[in-house]
Amino acid sequence: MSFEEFFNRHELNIIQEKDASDNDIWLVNQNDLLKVCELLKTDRLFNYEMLLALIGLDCVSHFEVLYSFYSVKNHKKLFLKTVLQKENPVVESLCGLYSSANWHERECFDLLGIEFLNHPKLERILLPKDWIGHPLRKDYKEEDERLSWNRR
Amino acid sequence: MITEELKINIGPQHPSTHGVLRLVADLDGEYIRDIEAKIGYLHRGMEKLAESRNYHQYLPMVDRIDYLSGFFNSASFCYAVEGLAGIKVPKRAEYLRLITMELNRISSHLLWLGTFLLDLGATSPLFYCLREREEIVKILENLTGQRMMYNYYCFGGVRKDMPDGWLGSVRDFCESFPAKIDDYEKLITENPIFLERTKGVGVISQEMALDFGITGANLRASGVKFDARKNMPYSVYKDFNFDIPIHQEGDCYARYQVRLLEMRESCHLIQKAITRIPGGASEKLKVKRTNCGCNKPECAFCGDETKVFFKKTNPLVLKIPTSEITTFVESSRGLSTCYVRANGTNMPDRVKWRTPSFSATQILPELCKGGLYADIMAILGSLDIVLPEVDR
Repeated sequence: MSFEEFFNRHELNIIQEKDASDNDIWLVNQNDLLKVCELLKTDRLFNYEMLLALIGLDCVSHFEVLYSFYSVKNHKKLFLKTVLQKENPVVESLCGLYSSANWHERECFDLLGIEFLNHPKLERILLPKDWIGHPLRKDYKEEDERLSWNRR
Repeated sequence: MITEELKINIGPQHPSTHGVLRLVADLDGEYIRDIEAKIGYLHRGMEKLAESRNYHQYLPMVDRIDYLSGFFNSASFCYAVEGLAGIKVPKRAEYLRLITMELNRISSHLLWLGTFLLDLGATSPLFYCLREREEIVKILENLTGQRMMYNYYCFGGVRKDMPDGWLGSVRDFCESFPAKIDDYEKLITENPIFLERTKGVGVISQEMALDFGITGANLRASGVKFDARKNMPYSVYKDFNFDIPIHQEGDCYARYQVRLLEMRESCHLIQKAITRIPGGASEKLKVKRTNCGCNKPECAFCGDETKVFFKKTNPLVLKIPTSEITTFVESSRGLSTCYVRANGTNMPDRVKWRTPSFSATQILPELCKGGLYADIMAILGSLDIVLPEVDR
């Protein structure tokens, strides 16, 4: 069964994209994300039991989150992408499905300021707790007076 | 016996943490009730720095992400940029990449073996391991001019040809090395103290490993046969037939055994590669020109000033049109992923590293909970974490 049939059967509206090495990237609506991941993880044919990485992207007009999954059973990888609003980037957390999502989501929150709903402990992980701003945002400006020695 | 609860802070500067990792442990006597790993002490902002540097300027920095196995990160980034720009690497360069990567895997595993046993209290294996590692480091120094931060790969190939007699020295090393591993095995594998400290300690079950996204030797020690060299072939690994060692137990001892077997396998792989390496002039080491075929002057590849961009002209003209790519490379610690998104300028829009140590550090508290305090270092050592790679 191909992905198209699978998504059609579950009445999910999903758009297909390609990356430079000809891998499929599936654009998922952010409200459907949790459902799609759950289906892909539990479905016997696909069985994507590994969340490899979670990549947050700032595209100036909006945010994107790219998920990469891997199925050890079929030896196949899968990319899902979801688009978030610029003003209020919020997406459902995948911690309930994959334990590896925990730190990856914290990192994404730390560096890009994307919020994950129902995350058990959404705190900064790489930067100090009192850091101001999210460095990987395109409009980030270093305005912390304590870092003035950096600008010499 | 009723004991008092104790909060102990391990690190960030602790000799056994292989970098600057901080562990905050709640102890109940000798047993660990709760433990928390805190990272970020080595965060250098590798992903942020990529935004303000062009592709060529960023390439030397990539080696510093994991200083013990620099070739893998270099390869990961090179394959990403080559994939985006549509560059095909010559066969001879790919073989050189394979040989250097496998040598790097052995040297990284050797340092792991030495420090792991040092963590457990055995001093002498470190000297033997460093002795053999020194040979590899010297071989790589002859080739690249550097001992650790090689900066040897470039987009479209490798920087220079091998010096005279280099392949011979690699062949000599590969012939003598398996006997050295036998020596280690005699020294370590059946040592009762070592068995006592590692067998049944820090067991990662198959489900747990997949759930936490563990990769590399740690995953293969839990009985999952997954290796990016086999399952998502890159470079010329497709041409070779090699084994992926796995073990079912998932404890520290299994991880030790898998890594030893991997060193042997890498050794065979290098020997096979040496016999098959295509010869030729050093021009076959690097792509000198790319052309997408459209021949329009405004094109990023075929345009007037961009025909030759590797050696002779200014690297500033490597302008990659808007696209994205993810590459997967099996580094010595596991699956190392590089995501690059280009935006038409000479600088990447976004670079993201997914490093195997990051996931391995995440599983550490789960493994330590309920165990003995003395086992923390055995588990931490066996996971083969390198902290710069965790924090990037």
